[in-house]
Amino acid sequence: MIQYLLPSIILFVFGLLVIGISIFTKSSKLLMYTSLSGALISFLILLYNLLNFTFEKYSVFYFDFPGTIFSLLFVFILIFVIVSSMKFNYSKPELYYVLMLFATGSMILTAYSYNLIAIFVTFEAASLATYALASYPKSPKSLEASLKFFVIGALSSAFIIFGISYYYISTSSFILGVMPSNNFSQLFILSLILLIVGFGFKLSLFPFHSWAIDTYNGSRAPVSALLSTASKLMALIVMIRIFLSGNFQIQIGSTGYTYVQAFFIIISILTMTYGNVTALAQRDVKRMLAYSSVANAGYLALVFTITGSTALSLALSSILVFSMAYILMKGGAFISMENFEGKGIGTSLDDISGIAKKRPLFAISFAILLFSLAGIPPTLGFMGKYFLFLSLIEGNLWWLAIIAVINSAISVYYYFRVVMYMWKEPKMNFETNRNVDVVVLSFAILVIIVGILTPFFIGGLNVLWGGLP
Amino acid sequence: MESFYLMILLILPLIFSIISLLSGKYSKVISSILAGLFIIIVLPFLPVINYTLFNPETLYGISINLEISYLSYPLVLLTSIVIFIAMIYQDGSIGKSYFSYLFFLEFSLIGVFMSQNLILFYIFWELVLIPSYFMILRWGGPKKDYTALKFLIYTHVGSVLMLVSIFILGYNYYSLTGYFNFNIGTLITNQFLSNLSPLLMFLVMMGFFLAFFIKLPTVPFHTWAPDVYVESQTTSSMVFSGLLSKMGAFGLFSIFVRFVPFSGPDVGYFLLSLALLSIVYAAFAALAQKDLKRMVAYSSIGHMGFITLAISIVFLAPVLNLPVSDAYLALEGGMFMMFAHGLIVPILFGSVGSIERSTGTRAIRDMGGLTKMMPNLAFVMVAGFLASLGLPGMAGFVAEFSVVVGSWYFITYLSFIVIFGLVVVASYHIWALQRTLFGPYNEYLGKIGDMLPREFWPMIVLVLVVIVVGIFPSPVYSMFSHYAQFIGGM
Repeated sequence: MIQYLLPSIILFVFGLLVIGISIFTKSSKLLMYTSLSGALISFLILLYNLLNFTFEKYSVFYFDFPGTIFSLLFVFILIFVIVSSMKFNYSKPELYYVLMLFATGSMILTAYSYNLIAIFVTFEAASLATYALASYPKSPKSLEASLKFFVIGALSSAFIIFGISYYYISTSSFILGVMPSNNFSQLFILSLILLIVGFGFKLSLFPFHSWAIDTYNGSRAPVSALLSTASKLMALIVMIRIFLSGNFQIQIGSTGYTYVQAFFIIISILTMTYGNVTALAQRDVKRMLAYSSVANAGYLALVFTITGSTALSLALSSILVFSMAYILMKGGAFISMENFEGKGIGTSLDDISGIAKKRPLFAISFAILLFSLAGIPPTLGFMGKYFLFLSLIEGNLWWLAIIAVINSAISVYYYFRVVMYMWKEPKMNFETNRNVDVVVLSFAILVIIVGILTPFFIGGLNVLWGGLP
Repeated sequence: MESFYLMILLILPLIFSIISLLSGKYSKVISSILAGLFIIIVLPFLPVINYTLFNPETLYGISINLEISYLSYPLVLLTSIVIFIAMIYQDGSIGKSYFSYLFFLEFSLIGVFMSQNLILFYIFWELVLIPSYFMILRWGGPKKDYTALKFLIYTHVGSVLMLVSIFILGYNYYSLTGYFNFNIGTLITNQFLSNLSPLLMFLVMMGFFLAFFIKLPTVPFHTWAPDVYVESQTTSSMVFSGLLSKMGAFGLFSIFVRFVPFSGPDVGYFLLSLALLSIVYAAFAALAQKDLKRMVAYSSIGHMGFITLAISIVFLAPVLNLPVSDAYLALEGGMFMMFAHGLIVPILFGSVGSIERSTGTRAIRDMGGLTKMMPNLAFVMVAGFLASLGLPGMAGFVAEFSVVVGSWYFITYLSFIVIFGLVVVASYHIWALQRTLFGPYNEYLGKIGDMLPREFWPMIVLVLVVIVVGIFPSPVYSMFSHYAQFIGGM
């Protein structure tokens, strides 16, 4: 048990250590290195856990393979976010690092939770840290982002609590996968709908997405990278545990299951289409990325529409690949915005135009991340979508796969428009942040290499996942 | 072991691409030598070699399945020749990355021509977009941004619809066998296609149809082509019109013809009307052009109409209750058109490019009597235009003659429309020659130089190849005959 909790504990301990150090010195660099070493140690322990993996089950936590993979992804993006915000020079740098460490530590606990109370507590802990993080450093734009995020987040917590209470009434338990009593089967479905709404806010599914645009656009680029990837995937793993666990279908009954599936189909189609179509009209790159992250939430939600055991096992491994791709490409794309924002340049298309002539390496790596988001082979983004759509086909939902493919075709326009502007004649001189350049370059290399290797390891993921308990 | 060379053949241009990126200011020389070397490497790969690296059923349908067939060998050869010619023609001052892009394009094109797995085919098909997009965007004319995005969206929409078709075919195979397998030979066979419902069959054919006919291009979907060919820089236009359009043709001959037994009578007539429309429309559109490069672009679209015509003949055969063997002549002609057009069109774009470089204009009315100042250009251009209008003794004639004669048996009097189109084709070629090369010299142009050696000699080589292939077509033609029989046997 302790080996699985250790990564999270280490992040908390290093968070406290950062506070302790900040009493004596406000050196941003020292605090950065302290938190970076905490994240690295936590990452290594997670890697060790992954290699010596054994399934352990307790009433509150299930220490299983998907939880470990998702934790690894959270800490991975945390490391790169810390590295890319090295040049931040604001007051109270300790708060920034502490909040990040605490948020990620709680996310790891969420990924392992298998009890609604534990899920709620850890989810809230992570969320509260991210609300404060969104407002850092205090600027009107980021305060607005944070306030919207907080108000909507509080609303979604209310939904979750409400859902949990109905869940408890109908099943008399907080543990997932318990059969509801016959008298309360209607209430059980209601509780699930409330939970979908509550977690759907965090995943930015279509009718609940509006906070995401302003928050991702308003916060600092590395913070947006953390919010749009780790925080979203946290909601995803919780939803996977609730809606894809082994006996969910028995729990809800076959009619109820059809309803839930239809609900997810409608939501995912709306989310994809809305995100892609509105992103077409954006002339600000960061705002466009925010909309495209809504569209990507639609692809992520596709996994809940799939039925049938073979289709589901491919879908679960493909959602891991897609999450990996999502962390790399979306996180990398938001981090690259730091190159413009951190230098006081805006992020509109006209502001970034011509960067390729001045900073070719950065432009090429950013372009590769955009290709991956657009689903151009052989990047990881293509592979993630390929296997996800393949699992849809396996689950007899070929028409949904067609809608998703066409959506992915629409997205090409707005990603390639950014590439087009980058290769225009430069109007001004660009000074890029070297840390950001390195992070984006390494993400681009990973996107290609892991993408080419995906077909070889996806079968292995399938075996390791082994079906949810 | 012999088949393992296919993998090396595929990877080699990618390595060359990196080498030319690293070679600094000698990029042009090194790239040209490597491209020339590559032709020599390609030559001994005689068909048929097949190579499979992974079992697709264990890797969710993906495998590396490469093949040099009777259809792909001439195209791979054509690719290596055209890339080599373009590299010699290209001014070295353009920068090393241009040559790198050319090699990357060669890599993806050869991948398209050799793939026997649909997913691999799709990956290479999409990969072609990236170097061509950047070649337009970085070295294009004044409207390059608009053109690059238009090109990208047109072709990407086509290819995504093709991906949908591929997925439906995969779904069909999976529901029958329980495995994913995207190898063309296993997936698109009569046995599996007959299980598709009419709606799915329609969707599948529609996806492939749009992907291939947009890339070809055929008339209603052609509007990206003139823009792209005109806005790109000369060597890019050579490569785009000479090679990228062959991707569509290759898809038609290798994948689309497999649907012949499952198509209704409408398909054949629909394709026939598209073909006739392409030939006649492109001829008249070219006649009206004021820009010489745009005229050449439309002539290229017109030639692609002959490929559509050949395909429509194959689809018409079952409708008219004629054996497929009767369609062989038209089919061979259509395939030979790919090869001939790929050799001829670089000459046209090359000569237009030289005129543009020395006179600074492409407008036909600003020229006149260029023979006086540019005798070498006049020779190349006359040879190229005559080849393009289908003069007997040159490669274009063999293709057009076979298609027209081969289609007579099927469409009888409708062939007169094709003949009429050919007359217009001949007239706009001759008329353009008259207005640019001959007549009184336009003194406003002042004293201008002739073709440079780097432009002249590659064009002469191409003219010689066109004449040799025109007089002695059988080595290439017999390969296409083999392939036509292969199609007939399916």
